[in-house]
Amino acid sequence: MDKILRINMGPGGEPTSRTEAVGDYAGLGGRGMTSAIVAKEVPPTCHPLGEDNKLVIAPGLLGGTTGAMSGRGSVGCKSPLTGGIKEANSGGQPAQMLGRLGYAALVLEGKPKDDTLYMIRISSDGVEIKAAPALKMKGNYDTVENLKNEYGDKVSCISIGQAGEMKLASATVAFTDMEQRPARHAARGGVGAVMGAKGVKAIVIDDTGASMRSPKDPEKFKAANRAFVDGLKKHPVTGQGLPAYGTNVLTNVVNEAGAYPTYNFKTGRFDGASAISGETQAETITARGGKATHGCHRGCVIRCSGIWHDKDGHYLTKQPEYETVWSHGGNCGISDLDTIAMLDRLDDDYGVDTIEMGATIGVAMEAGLVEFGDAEGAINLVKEVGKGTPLGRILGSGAAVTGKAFGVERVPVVKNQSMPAYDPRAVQGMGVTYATSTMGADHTAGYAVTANLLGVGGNVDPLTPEGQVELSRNLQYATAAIDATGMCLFVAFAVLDQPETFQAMIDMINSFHGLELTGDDVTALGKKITKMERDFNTAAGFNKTDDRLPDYFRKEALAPHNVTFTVSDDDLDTVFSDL
Amino acid sequence: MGTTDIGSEDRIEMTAPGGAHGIFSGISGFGFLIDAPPGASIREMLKDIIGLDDDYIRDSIGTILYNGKPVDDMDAWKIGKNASIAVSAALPGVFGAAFRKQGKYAGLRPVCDQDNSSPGEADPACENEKPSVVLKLFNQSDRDIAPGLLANGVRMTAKSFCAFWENRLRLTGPANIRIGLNGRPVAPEALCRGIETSSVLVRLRSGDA
Ligand code: SF4
Repeated sequence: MDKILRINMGPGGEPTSRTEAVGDYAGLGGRGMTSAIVAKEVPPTCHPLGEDNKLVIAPGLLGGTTGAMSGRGSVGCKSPLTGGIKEANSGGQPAQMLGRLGYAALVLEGKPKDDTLYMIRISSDGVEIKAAPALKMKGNYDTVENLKNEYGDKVSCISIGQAGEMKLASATVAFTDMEQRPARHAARGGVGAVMGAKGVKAIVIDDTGASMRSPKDPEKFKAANRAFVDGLKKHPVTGQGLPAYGTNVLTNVVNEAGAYPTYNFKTGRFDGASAISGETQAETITARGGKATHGCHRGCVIRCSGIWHDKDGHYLTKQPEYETVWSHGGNCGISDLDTIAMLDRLDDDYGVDTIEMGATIGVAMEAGLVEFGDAEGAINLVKEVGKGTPLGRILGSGAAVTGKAFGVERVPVVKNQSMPAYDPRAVQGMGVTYATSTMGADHTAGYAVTANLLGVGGNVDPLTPEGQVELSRNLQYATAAIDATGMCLFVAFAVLDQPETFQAMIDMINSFHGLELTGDDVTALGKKITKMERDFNTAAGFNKTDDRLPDYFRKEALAPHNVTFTVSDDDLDTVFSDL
Repeated sequence: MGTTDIGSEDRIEMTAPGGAHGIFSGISGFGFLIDAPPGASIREMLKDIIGLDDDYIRDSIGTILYNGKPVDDMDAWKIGKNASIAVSAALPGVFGAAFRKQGKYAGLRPVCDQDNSSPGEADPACENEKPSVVLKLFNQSDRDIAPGLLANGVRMTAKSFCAFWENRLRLTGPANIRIGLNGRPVAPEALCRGIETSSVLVRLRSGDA
């Protein structure tokens, strides 16, 4: 991975491509790479859909290797949803293939001269860019089917659906999975709208003839990889809970704890939670002949995903994740897994973020467009997005725009991005991360609970607001570092509890690249990425008032525990005071 | 495992090949009604009533919620009337870390819950009666513990049972299972219509369907 592929979509001419050495960006991967390129090359005040924005797609530091869990791909740009820097990442096969072809990053630049829609094919033979009128306004599933017919079933695809073509702010970039289905998405922040603005409908990656990347020290790498896999398998979360139930294992417990945002964040418990829980979901999948344990890309040993079949036993979508089940389920008062799976399928096909879409439907329900709990009404609203009606375009622009269009006060967003499935009043530390993340409200921003192992836990009492601030900061640094490796964040659970698994992860990076990184270096990397992102956002016009939760989280007590968000603004302002 | 006396409630008997728990997977998330001795601690309830051993409690239970609040010291918490106790194996994410028993990320919980690190008082009104606890077993805990409770017979509110049963019928149908209500065979779809009491005793047997 020593080269960067740049494709300029214009202006004023035909798209051109050039390959250059990785240069100053050497040693970066995943979010580290996407944020470095965006921070250095994209003017912070540019229009996200304009020619100066860039869409960067990057495998992680171990992308294209035999390293376990290392196949996630990052997509970065200036976000049309938040107006700040964005990194969203996805499973699926494309990042592994890009890595094997030697690309540390693919950068889409400029703007096409007209509304021609293009597709790009990247292979060992080079790069081909051509007009693809037949794909216009096709959903991701049809798009991939067409590409499969043309290029075979061994290639992987990166694509956008109708929402990306319409440049809607909730549009995703889809990555095909092991079954060549466009079911994995770099979902957050409207990255698909930027791809649409570049006029690129799809990227086909063909790694025929390319081999696995080879480590500097193969024996050490192999041993570290084995230790890492053993660590993941023996941990109860990565070896048992996630494989058996997927991320939806959380529904019942978050609900019981009163932290499950219900009816557009009105209350913390949903009566129908057990009906849509991971336990119910896993049994349903198994009974219908789907797969309750499945990886989103080759090399995943946790396999938190699955395959959902409809009542007739036919594939409908991947196993909807916890966030999706919540956003379209409890948040909208819907307790039917088949409805939720259908909404997931539609979201994936149109190419919209399931969290943003579910939160938006919740806001639309609060506005009275349809009733809470109206499953058919929710499906019809999402279909409006696919059709591109004026209502659909408002909904596809996200919860903040929808709230404004329909005069709703309770809109659960930070930096215009919808909150995920944990009410910040009930999980206060999560609220700190929602408020201060460079990405807008994002649960994964502070997901990697590795702070103590990384030696940055400090001595602050975690039961105080300062402690919550410190925890959130450390978690955000650790997460940024893991995002840079291209490893799935879910490795963090084993890494948290098992020092030898954390060491094995560092050993994998070191033996592959011939480095001598320590835990402190990993922390420093996370801090450096966060600083680049904060600086970009500041230059784009963000200030401390953007690091806030909506007012109502302080004023409206959340049942059943009647809690409000209590971390003060002053404390929030200290989260990144060390940068 | 403790057994439950057959009282005046409707009795539901399910017979499935091998006692297959599959179709009942997740049922305990809807809530089992357990009679707990007055003033019992959470640990005593888990050991003496549910039949779990110390190793299981230490190694396999990641989170316990008492009326929705995370419990760190299960010896100190006494069970009160109409309590709800939820048991889960280790959970992913920041939430899982924050709500883990004796976890070092407890600071991520809501501020009000920090008060609950102190022991709960036994409700004086419960001292001389058996408080009926709603026990919810989630994820791996459901897989490990619920089959034994179901084999012995376990009480549920009729509302909770029917919420489970009707959802299960809607999603996958009754599968290969024979159902009796108070000793008489009943069609899966008719089961909840036939229930007349506010709580039911559910028992799962192994046998030909
Ligand atoms: S653990 Fe889940 S999200 Fe992570 S790589 Fe595996 S299947 Fe994908």
